[in-house]
Amino acid sequence: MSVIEVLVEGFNRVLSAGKIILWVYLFSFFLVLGPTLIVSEMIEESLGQSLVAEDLSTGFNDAWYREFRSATKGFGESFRFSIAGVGAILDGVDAFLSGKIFQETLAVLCLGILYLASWIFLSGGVLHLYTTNAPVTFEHFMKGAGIYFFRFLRLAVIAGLFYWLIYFYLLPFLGDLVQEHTREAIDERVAFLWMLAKYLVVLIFLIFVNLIVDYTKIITVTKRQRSVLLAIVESFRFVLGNVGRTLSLYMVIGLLGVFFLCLYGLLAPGGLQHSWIGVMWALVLGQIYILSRIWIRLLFIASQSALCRTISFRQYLS
Amino acid sequence: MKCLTGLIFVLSGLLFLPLRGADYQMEVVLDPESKIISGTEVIRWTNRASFPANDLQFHLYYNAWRDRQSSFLNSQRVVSKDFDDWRENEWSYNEINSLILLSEEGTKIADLTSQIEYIQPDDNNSYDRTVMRVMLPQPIEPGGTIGISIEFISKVPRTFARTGFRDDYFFVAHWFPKLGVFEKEGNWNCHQFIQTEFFSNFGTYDVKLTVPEDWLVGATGIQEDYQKNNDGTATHHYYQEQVHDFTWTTSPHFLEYKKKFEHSFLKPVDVRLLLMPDHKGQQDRYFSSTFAALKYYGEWFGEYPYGHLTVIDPAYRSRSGGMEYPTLFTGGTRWLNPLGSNKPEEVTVHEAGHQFWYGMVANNEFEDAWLDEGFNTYSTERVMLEVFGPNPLVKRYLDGFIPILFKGMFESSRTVSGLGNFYSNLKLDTMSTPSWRYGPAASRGGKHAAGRDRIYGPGAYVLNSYTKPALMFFTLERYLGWETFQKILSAYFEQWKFNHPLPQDFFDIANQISGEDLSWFWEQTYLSSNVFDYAVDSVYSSDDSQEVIIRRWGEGVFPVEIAITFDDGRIVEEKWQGTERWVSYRYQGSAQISTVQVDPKRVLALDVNLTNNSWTSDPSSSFAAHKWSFKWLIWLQNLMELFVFFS
Repeated sequence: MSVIEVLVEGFNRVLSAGKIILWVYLFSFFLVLGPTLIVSEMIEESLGQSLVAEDLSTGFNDAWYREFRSATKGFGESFRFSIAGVGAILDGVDAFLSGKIFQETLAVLCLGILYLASWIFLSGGVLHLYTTNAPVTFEHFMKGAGIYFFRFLRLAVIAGLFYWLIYFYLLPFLGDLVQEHTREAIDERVAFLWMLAKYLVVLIFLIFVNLIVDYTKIITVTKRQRSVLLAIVESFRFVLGNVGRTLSLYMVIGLLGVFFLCLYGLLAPGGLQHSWIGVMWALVLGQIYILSRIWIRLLFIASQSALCRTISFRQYLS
Repeated sequence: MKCLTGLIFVLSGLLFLPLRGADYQMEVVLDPESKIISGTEVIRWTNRASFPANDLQFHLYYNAWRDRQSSFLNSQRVVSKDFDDWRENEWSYNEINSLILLSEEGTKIADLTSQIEYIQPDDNNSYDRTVMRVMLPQPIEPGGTIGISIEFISKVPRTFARTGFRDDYFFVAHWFPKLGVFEKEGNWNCHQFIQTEFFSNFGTYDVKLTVPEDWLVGATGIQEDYQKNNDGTATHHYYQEQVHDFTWTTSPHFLEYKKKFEHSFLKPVDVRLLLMPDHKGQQDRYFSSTFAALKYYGEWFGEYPYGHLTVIDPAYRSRSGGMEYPTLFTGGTRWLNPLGSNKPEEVTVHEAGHQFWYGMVANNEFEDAWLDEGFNTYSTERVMLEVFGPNPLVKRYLDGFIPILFKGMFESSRTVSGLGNFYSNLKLDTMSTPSWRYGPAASRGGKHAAGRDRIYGPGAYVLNSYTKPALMFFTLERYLGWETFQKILSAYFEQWKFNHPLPQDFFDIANQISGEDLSWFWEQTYLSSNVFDYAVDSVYSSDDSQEVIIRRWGEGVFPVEIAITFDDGRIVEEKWQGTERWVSYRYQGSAQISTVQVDPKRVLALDVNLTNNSWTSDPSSSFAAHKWSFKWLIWLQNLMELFVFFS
């Protein structure tokens, strides 16, 4: 079975269990809705009955923002002009690659950890439904989530250790290396290439750990593996034994994700809407993008499960 | 050694042009390998004070980076560890091999080399060697002229601040032994080097620079002569009168561009740009902004008289960008810098503008940095608005390499508005505090004891030298009217060009030309750390009467206008002296108040909170809050999806 065939199978699996996208999306939406309402209230309170609100209704007012920023706490501290349009995406990419994601404000960080923990729980349900013939019901979804939660949690702790090593040892090490090699650079283009190389190396390590984690989960579910450590070893063997296919599949889906990211980056409205229609259009477009992110995430799980199943079946036959 | 000494006497015998204070004649050689500049200087100095001079005091700026004990590094390192990885051969020093006192005619009077001592007038840090003193065998009487011949070595640092090398790019500023200023009261004004502000006499600089043959040189003044030597080097001879410093740069990488600034009534200026190769294509941005500064500063304040100006595009991360020197300045751009971002333009206009405020009107930056930085920040802002419009918001990603311009969203000018987060910092110090006391680490990180970011340094140097005075000038411009304020500025420029004004000199001219005693304003802005904050406190409506209460939250007092519009289209304008804490206005009739604006023309640019300056009966804050919180929602969802990667 080729990578494309596996991808098509994964695509069909995600499509046939469309409810899962909806559940994950709704969970994601409602998780951030509360903080959004808090931020909205903060902004409204800061503006009061001032005419400055008109500036923000049609564009942005940096002077107000500075006043707001100096007085705000909690979620409000993460409010900045670059949340508008393509900035939201680039802020994320930058935070992810540079590790600034862990330097977000405490409120955002806590929410992120909560979401991460929630997904560790939910991913068991997703995998359970994608890898078995169980009907796509909320009951089965939650059942799967419950069965694998603690195993996935242990896996996340182990994976977290590797991610921690990447961000807090490898990245600074590479940073120092780049600094050393560009110490005498008087041409910014040289330093730019070194910067790209640095993040490429970080990305390769992140992807590798991610790949091992993905297949560990699949193996845990498909083979009912109770020991996370054994599942990791098996996943490691599987990935290394099928480097071409696992990596190709990862890259194809990853590039699809990058495509959606770029597309949204091009279409994302900035901060200049001045009517409810414009505001709602920006919101809807943003939600379509978030849906695409979730779809890509599920496509990873479904396609990688299909690949794992196919290869394991062949090995069984041989 | 004998040859050098002989050369000193030959040089000292040369005739100088009419003196302003201290004239310098130098011959130096740069060794790019060892990063050492060696040579001689002959200073011809006249005592312009009414008191005899018993000693001579010199700045040796390169000793600021001699070791970690210098006052500059000691204090910088309190809040920054930037300099911890400097290597042994990257430190700097000024060393004096000989210092000989000469008569007016150039004959040797005494060898004072053994008299050299280092003093620390500002902080008593005995390790600091940035001020050198020699006692004179006999006082120099008022009007008396002497010569000083110095044989010196300057080891160029890897740049700590503004001057140094990076690979084969050299930016050489504040590099030679330089006399302090002997003030009319009979004391030397020769501060230690704690932050990058300077002060010195006007004079003539006649300098011969020897560098590798194929390297380009940019320097203060104009190149009078160029001579290839037999050893693979070349000597560039630069000359400039009526300046108070001499700075130069050299590198084999520079690309050279030239253009002439022409104007209907201003003197033409030959502008020479030395550009780094990674910024090729940005030359027009440099030229257009330099020309904008020459045009508008020239039209508003006075002519740029030198006829030539050298613009240096500094090498990447050379820490030498955005700095002014006589007839030469450094700009600052990046390889990726979107058109319309206005950033390189703003730096260029600002530094070109310093040719006027610093270059010609040469206040003592050690003590009154606001006199040039404040004037220039205000003037830069005016030019930028006139020529380039407001600055769009730009954010740089991936270690700052990739800039994204947020179209249609503009940053609040650092002068016109946006004082919100300056509120508490304004209380840190007053503009009247001598600048050198604001302390180092002017714009570096760190925390105050209370945990607040120390972005303005302990004495809020940046705020009190740049932002607040610029806001003070915008306030004055709007209060007095541009026509009057422009007259004040041009009169101040005309009266004090090629001289060293004090704050009171400007206040006197402003009082005189405006025809108003503005002491109340200077006391509140220059001498005090009070803030200005007027606000709409509340609006009460009933069927037959309306009441508006305006409040003064800040300590600063300033007369303000209040504009009240009613729903029948009527507009009422009130004037309030603003001295009490609040004022109430009552209106009879059934028409309801639609809007209230305190200071609707934004005369009081110093007002720290503009949001509370207005009130509307039909606020759009709910819509604005929803709009921006929805954007934040998408940003947060996207971030959450990234967190999931780690599951």
